[in-house]
Amino acid sequence: MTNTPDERGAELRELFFETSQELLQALNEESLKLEKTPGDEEIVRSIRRIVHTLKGDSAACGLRELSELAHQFEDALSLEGAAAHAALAEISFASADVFTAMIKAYHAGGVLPATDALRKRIQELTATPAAAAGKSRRKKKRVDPAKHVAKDWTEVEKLAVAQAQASGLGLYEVVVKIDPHCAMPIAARQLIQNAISQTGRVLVLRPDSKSTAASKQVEFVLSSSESPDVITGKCRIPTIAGDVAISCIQSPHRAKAPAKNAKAPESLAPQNTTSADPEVSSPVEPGPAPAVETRASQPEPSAPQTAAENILRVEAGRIDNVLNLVGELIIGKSMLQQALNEFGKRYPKELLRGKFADAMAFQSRVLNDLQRSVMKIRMVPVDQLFRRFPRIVRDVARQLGREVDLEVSGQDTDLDKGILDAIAEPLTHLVRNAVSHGIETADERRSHGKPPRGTIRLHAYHQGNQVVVEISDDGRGIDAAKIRNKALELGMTTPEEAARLTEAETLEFIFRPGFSTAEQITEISGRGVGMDVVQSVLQRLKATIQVETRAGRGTTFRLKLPLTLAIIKALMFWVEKRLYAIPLNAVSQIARTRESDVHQVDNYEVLQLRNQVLPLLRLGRPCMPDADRHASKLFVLVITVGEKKYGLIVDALEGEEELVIKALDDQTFSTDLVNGASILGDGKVVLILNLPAVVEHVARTRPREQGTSNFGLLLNHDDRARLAMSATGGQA
Amino acid sequence: MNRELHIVGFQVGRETYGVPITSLHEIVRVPEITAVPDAPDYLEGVINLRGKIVSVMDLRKRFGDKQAKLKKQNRILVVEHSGKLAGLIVDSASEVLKIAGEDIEAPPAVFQEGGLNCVTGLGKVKERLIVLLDMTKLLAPANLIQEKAAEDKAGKAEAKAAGSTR
Repeated sequence: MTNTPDERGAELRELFFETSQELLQALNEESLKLEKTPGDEEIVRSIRRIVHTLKGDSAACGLRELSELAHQFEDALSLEGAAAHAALAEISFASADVFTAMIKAYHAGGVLPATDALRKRIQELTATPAAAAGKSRRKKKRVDPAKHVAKDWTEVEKLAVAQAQASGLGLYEVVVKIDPHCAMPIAARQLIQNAISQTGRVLVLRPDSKSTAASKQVEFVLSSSESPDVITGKCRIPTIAGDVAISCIQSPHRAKAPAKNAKAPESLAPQNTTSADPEVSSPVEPGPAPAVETRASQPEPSAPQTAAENILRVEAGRIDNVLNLVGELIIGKSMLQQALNEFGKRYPKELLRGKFADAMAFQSRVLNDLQRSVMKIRMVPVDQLFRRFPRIVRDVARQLGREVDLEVSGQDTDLDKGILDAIAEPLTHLVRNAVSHGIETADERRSHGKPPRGTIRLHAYHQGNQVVVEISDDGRGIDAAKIRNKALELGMTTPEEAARLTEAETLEFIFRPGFSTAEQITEISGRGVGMDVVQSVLQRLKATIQVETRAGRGTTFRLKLPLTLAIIKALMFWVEKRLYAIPLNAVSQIARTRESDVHQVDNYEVLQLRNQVLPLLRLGRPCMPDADRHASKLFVLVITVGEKKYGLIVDALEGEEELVIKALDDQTFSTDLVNGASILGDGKVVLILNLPAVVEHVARTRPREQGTSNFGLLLNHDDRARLAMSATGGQA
Repeated sequence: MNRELHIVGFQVGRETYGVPITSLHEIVRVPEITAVPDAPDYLEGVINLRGKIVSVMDLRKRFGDKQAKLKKQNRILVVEHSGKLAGLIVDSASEVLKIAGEDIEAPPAVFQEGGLNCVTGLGKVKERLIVLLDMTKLLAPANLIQEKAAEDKAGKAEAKAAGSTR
């Protein structure tokens, strides 16, 4: 225990910041439920439980303002009239917001937000005479814990207790407080558990190890033949266990002393006391108020017991570390593979080759499994993200006076945690947009013969090795003509160009920076920032977004996300003796063609491939001078970027491989053409191209004159000089 | 500053430069360098340093010799800079030098104006002059971006000129 108190405090706070997120989320969810069924006592109770936990935890971390506010809110909630108060849901939402803001401020070390408005609203709840309020509260608290304990026992536990009673052994309830200065509360808990299990059989153990409360105290129901003194003695472990309170539910038949040092006894579940067994000692009168108070501060979220025991909380960094190592192993595998190939070439008759190959095959199979398993660790259900949307939709809809339902499906689809975190903001933006731009007002909807309540659907599903997240609304749809006009107005396109654009191409304007069709700029949307942010985040993730819209019927945004960020299947090719890679899922076709199939349209080079016409991107050298032009053959990779297809001209293909992505030092290389690198089996470094940026570069530097064309995106100064020397009489 | 400064000396062109030994990670022969497109010409590219990807800058080009070619004697100094590794191509890495604190002079103001603000001082060892470099400034992104922007501008101007003459 070398930790200084400061460090311990910081650790505790970190833990609190983490767990408080879950509490706040739960608070939001309960508030939503309450709004749907106002006055539901059960929901109010669970809100109070959440607020109470928040209060206790924040007080333990020394976050005084937060705990005071939570305390005030909790007090208000425990009033009898509170549940029926119409504005309760509203206040509950507001307090969730204020709590969130406060926790953020604590975390960032910033200024705490103003809480006066919320305090006032809470006071509205407590408008009933103060004295009565106080009394009723105290009364409630005294009753509550008992009820609470009874409710917490599972059927199995009740059965175990009943059996123990029948067996005639002593039955004790033991509450051990873990020393608040103990640096390792979880370990302390284990020690206490070990100690106590020496004295008898543990029937009930509370709270389960996952919850934060586990670091403060442990409660047991124990059946034992020992006397309470012995049990208390066992539990008193210096520097770990603080107070030990033991209460006798049933003393053993050969009882020597009845619960001598009972401090905070608990009334037990009614079914135990009403049991016919005459030996049951009636519960002792409730102890001093403070003990009860702490007792009530341990409400357990009713998590499924079995799941809780199998969950491990691990720092994400550690898993990343393992994933990195797996990446290195994959590089090692391809090194081995390469060596084996060379070996085979050199000694084609060597019998040992077969053995090597077998071992390699086995190893690579295990490696694949390993990789998949490690990646699975990083996977989390999208529900973690989806569950925050009901609140957002509600808020935006209310602000704009719309009526909107949110339907969520496929929330158990797994996605890499890193990706999930990264798409949180874009997805939020899309959902807000769907409410504010997509869904019409109730009147407008009625006049179009649609139900007055709009629906927004969030749907996630797997597709190949991608995850698709769809956000669809049944609103007015996006008007392509309006977009076209706005784009013209903003000077993003020319009239001639606009006339030629397909609908899909037109819709892409909404992803341009500064584009907005909203007539009014509101707090929610219309500033024209946002969609381009969505786009840029998705580009970084190598994800794509599609828009599908039907006027008057609604819009669907479809996000296609990679399963993981760390490893991609890539196609590698050569340009000017350099190896590059692109994500394989962007490639829709590989074709061989001739220069004679390349045509010039409006200074752009296009390629006619079967019945489609593709804009061409020459990554390497410019096209040959006329003399040998028609004969030369070309490799064309047909790639899909956004809604459009392009042809990439490359020199030669290398093949496909799984690449472990490593970041380039983006401080030194400010280029966006490349968004990563990987190391191949032979130690070569291959650069992974960022296709959207490549396409954009070409679009930006449009050729101005007949005969010139875009080329040499991947060339550098040396190459240009060399090409200029060799291609005498060429373009240069 | 009475303490001795331990410096790794290396040659770029005719001059001897030095970096503090603490910022040096290792010295390697020049392996195959993968060029990165759209980068300033003195950024040679990236190398694979035992499974790590390290970006490499050619100091000779950075200090003005644009025509520098790679030879057998060339070495890459792998330096650590704000937690990351970076490689510097030099003509040769020679020795470890000890320079007494009082033998180090502040760089002349001309250097600052000439965009060579990565020079922290001039050290004297037995009548030789060692130019001391500051890694952070040498590799600072702000510096690079500025120069890149300038280069881009020049490039565009060139292109324009080429376009109009054609």
